[in-house]
Amino acid sequence: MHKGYNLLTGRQPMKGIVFREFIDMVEATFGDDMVDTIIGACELESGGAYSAVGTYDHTELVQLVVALSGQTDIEVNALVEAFGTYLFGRFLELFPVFFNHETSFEFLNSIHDVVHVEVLKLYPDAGLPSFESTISDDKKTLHFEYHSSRHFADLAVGLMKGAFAHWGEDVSIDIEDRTTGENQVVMFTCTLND
Amino acid sequence: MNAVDIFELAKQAKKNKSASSEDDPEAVIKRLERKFEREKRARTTAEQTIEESSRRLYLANQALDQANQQLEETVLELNDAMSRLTSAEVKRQATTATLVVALVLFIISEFAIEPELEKSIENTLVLQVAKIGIFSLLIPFEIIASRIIESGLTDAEDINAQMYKNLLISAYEDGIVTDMERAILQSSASQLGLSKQAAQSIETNYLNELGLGGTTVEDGQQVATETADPANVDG
Repeated sequence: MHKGYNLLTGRQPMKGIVFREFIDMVEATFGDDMVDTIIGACELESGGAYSAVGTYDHTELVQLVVALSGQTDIEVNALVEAFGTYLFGRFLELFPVFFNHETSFEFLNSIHDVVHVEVLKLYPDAGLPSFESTISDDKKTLHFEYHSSRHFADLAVGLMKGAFAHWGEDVSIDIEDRTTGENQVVMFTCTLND
Repeated sequence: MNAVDIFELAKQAKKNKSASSEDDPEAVIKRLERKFEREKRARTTAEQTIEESSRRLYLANQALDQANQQLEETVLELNDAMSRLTSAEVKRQATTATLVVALVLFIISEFAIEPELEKSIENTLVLQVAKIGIFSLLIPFEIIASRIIESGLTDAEDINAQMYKNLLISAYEDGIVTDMERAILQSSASQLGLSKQAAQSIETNYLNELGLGGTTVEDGQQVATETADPANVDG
């Protein structure tokens, strides 16, 4: 069972900052008009009024992305991935303290044990995906397993790509879907190219 | 594998679909009004969330304060109990020592002096009077001996003063002496047989050591700052 999952409503809270950043991104790339259009096209419990300190049902983000895809003819997966990369850049600006690693692999390896622990200290109700990661001995391969009930593996890909770009590394990502139950399980094998 | 830039994606998409209602001023105003409403709503929920969090923090802090004060009181009570046990032990040792002295004196009088008396005095009545006389002559020795033992063994006053000082240290540890702590200090002082003046002078000395000379902490005002008015925090 995912942390933050509400048994009664089946709702899974997602941090408001993700929504805020998404809205800001749409505004910056497609304009005010587009924000208004996609919010109008969805049935959102929050009414599309997001604040960074609130938490909202993650399906609202899914609805918004699908609506944006419908408006722009860009595939949902591509949008989610691009949003992930955008989000990495924003996190880097907002929380630079988490990004003082030598390599992207070290950073990604620290997310579950360091970054998420810090996030949970501040926001005990944050429903975070869980990662299991290992770096090979020669430090050229990172195995990164994503577990989440939200099926945002594309977002993870985008974030990872943002990290590789930030550290100026050329990395190939091999994606293997290992989902068997309700939760999405994806194994990313990242290989550093010389 | 290259990262996809959302701005690149957007550029391509714009070729597919041209912007729609940009030109109609009324539509623009409607759109901006909706945006304004959303922003207002977001601000309100944000404020509520923060309000709730600060309230939670305040309550958690209160609970911690209370737990802390209870701990302090427990420490004081334990110290108090310890000092009582120690002084009881000292008294017990003194009593034992006094009994030993009494026993020695009794043996001396019974086996060394009295047989001599019985040999030299024949009259039973006179003998009894003499025995009592010797016995009562020994009483002051016994008292003196027990006094010496007691003071030698214990230096009772010094020990009691030291114990009172220990209590003071734990009472002043957080810089504040609460009503509760003051009450415990007072009862301990009388338990330890310290006069009010003696207790006061130990406290003054201790405060001088701390470099707080002359500012005997007043209960009332310190307690007032400790349990701050919740309205101030909430407001």
